[in-house]
Amino acid sequence: MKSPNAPPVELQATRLRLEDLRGRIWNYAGAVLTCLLTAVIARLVVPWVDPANIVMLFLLAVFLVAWLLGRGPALLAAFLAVALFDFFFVLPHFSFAVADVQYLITFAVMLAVALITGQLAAVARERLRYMEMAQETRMQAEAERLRHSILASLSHDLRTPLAALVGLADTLVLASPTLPPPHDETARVLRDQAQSLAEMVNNLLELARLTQGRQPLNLEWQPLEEIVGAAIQRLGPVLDAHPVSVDLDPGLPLLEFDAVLLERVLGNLLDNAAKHTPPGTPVFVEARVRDAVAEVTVRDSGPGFPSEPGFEAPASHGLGLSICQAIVTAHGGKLWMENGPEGGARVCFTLPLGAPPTVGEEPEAA
Amino acid sequence: MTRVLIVEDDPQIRRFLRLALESEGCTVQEAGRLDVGVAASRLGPDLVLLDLGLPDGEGLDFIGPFRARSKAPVIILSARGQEPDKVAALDAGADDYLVKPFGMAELLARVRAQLRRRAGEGKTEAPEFRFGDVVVDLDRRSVSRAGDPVHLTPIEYRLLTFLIAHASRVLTHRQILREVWGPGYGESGHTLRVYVGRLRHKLESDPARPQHLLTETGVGYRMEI
Repeated sequence: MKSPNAPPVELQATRLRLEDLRGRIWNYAGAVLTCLLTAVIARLVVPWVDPANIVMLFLLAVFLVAWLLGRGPALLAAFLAVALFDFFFVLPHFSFAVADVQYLITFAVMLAVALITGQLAAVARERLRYMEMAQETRMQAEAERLRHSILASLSHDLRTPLAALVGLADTLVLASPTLPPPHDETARVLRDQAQSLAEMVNNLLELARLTQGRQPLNLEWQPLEEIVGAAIQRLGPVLDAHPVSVDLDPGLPLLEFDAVLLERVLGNLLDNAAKHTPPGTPVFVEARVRDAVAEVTVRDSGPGFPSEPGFEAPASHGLGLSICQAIVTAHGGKLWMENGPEGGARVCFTLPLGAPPTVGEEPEAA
Repeated sequence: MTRVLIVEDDPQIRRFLRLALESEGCTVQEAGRLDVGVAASRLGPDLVLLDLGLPDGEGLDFIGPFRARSKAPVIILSARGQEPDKVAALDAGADDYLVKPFGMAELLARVRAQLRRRAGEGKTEAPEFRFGDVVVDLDRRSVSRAGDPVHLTPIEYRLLTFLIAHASRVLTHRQILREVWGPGYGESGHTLRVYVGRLRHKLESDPARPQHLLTETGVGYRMEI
């Protein structure tokens, strides 16, 4: 999404090109400057130094330009170095004329060496930068893998003792002969608390995986009805005290979503509704098409949210609603909460409609 | 006496499974590693409870070789969020799965259902099949609900009888598509879902809360009688 102050894309691109050009001009200016500086230094030391070593100074300058400023400036520096050497250090001085023809060979060799070392230095520099980039990418991938494996082992290490706890507490509840009343009650509480702790851990891990942002959604086209049924079935006894009424628009098309995650959304919403309302009050699941999105509502007949919550999940509803929000957002929908006109809490979320695939009709004859 | 093999690395979970199964009158053999489990499976258990993540390998690698020798039911013990692993295990020949944490009632219900299914295998097929108020007459290829005939298309009927033939087993989307639609339909998950929806509308009293044609989210379907 663009911020309102950001310039349009074309302008940004032009600016980038300009900045690039400016940078390159500076590089060439740097090459010219380096050669001039070398000429000045060489001029100062010339009484004590052999002309051959002056050539060496210029070659060093070309090499440095290639290493620091790149291929183009190095090319410029090579020619400039030869010209400057000729102009200032070869008789007659302050002229491009050459008295001793031997120097033509010097120029040719100097130019060749300058061009080749410049080229080599520039290539080496590019390769080094490429290797650094590759290294960085590798480190990022490594960190990603590490995060993933920490999450996986955390998931295993947290879930295993909880599974043992739930199971072992349950063997106490179902022991025969039954435990004496106070212990039997304790065993039940142990089992139920371990069970809800396990549910919380599940939610936490799911949220960690989702906010990590690298988990691809397993998107498939499917009827919403199936996932509503699965969520109700999975909640089982939690909903025993509440009649659930399901009203899905028969014209609702197939929707594209991750079945496991969306079942979790509906499961969390139904679970919240059951927990925050008095026993015996009904819970409703409704879905219809509205303004080119599918809108799903889970509402109850309880006291409603303490204040109009909008898009912010109230803390009293814990992790469950935050996960629902993360899942719906990952599907390109939005989720919000409100109190119904006739009371009760409502949580609504949308899913994009898209273009569902068609299911071929079969011929009626057997 | 029913012999159950438990392949699971956590000793406390093994203890819970042992207590539950022994209360049911089963003899239990435990393995904390894959190689021990593979060795123990040669003794011919009547049922296997198999954890997918073992210290010396994947539980998945147990299933193929075991299936080649034995038809005894294999129930996977798995965690929430491991759907692709469950699908792979079921495709390899496992029969059902339990999601940790689970209680004793859930465990024993699944174990009993698998043992019952295994005991019923190979017997001459009953010509008639009932669930809820639905009667399926396999000889006459007719279906009725509460006494009224129900019209099914050929694919719907094939789908229903395939699910009935594997009642209590979790069937993956791929397994059903291959058997009912034939090879080449492996990717048409939405087609299968639409057909199951149609069957529910014709046969279930509340299609949004099915009692028999159950969804195993992210995995497949299971027919519950």
